[in-house]
Amino acid sequence: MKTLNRLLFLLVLGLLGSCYPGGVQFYEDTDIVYTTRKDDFDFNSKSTFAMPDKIVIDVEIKNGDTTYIYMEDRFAQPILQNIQTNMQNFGWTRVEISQNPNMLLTPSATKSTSVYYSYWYDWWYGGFYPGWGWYYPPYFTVSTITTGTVIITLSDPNGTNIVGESETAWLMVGNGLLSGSNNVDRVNKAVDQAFEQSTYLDLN
Amino acid sequence: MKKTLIIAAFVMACVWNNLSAQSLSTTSYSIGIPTGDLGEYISSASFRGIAFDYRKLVKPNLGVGFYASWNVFYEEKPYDTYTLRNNSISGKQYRYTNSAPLMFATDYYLKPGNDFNPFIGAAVGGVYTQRATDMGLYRWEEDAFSFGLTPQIGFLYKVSTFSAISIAAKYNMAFGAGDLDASQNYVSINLGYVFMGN
Repeated sequence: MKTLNRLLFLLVLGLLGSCYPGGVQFYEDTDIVYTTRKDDFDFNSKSTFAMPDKIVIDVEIKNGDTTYIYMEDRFAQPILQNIQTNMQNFGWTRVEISQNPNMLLTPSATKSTSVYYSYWYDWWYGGFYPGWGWYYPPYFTVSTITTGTVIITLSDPNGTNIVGESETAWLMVGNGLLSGSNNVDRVNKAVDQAFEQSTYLDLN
Repeated sequence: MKKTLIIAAFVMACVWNNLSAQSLSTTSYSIGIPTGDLGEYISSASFRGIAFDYRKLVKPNLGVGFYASWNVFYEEKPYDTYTLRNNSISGKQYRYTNSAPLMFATDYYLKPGNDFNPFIGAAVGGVYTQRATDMGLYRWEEDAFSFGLTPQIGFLYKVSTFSAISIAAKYNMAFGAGDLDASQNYVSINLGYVFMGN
């Protein structure tokens, strides 16, 4: 009976372990969209914005020269078009940078790869020998995850501080696990969601 | 010789009988139904749980011992937007709560010696609660080690000299502590196998 009890306990424990709840299943499940705004910023007093035709993905500094690296046009253009459409749907007018826009919209994207190392000594039960033993050498595992981040900021170029920087009035950060398939749809979904949850940008 | 054997068998039977009535060790499959704050956080019932109860019978109708269990609550929240002041964040959420009470317990048996033996009881002790919210690639964790109280009702049904099955309903209360301000309560339905021995 005691053995039965112990077996039952182990069985239940095994069942528990095997059905520990799941989580993220698809790359898309990791997508999050974060937006925030400056507390007292009055978006309704603005109506025009300017934005670049490119999306910065990296900055290279060589011998004191700063070079921007841009996203390939085939990916960047649909994203930029979508950002513009969302702004226009909210009643904003896109103007050239030379036309003194009320707001500047700056899109950027980054990719980051993190590498995780772990290692452990796997144990084995010495069935014919007393006690426990250790395998040697230890197992090493290395795993990497690559995440993509899209950042859009809206700032007022007229409200600059003493060193010519303007505070961000609106910030959008979209983040997710990169699948390696350059999925523009996921970025556009994040952009759409950012506007959907930022109704204070709606001038209509 | 035959007489001696019969007497010996009789004595053994008495001893065994006494032994079988001295303690109850119950291993249960536990289903958790969240209520209150825990229910608001995770509304789904938990089908991942295990409980262990031990009672030393100080009287035929009174058992004292301990109660330990582990219930895992989980819910996948669909894509949604969560707003706090100027900040909004959208995404899918995966919510987990692990609850592990470890308590002193006492039960009162209404029909000791009967095959069908209902009982009422209560347990007092500590509960470790861990709450984790996964969103995107991030995880927020909160935990608490709190004071807990668990009243229960149930019954034992004897299936052999040494074993019984048990069905019990427990109301697990873990009062606000640590990172969790509100009580984390749930009803658990425990279906158990009882070993009646030393």
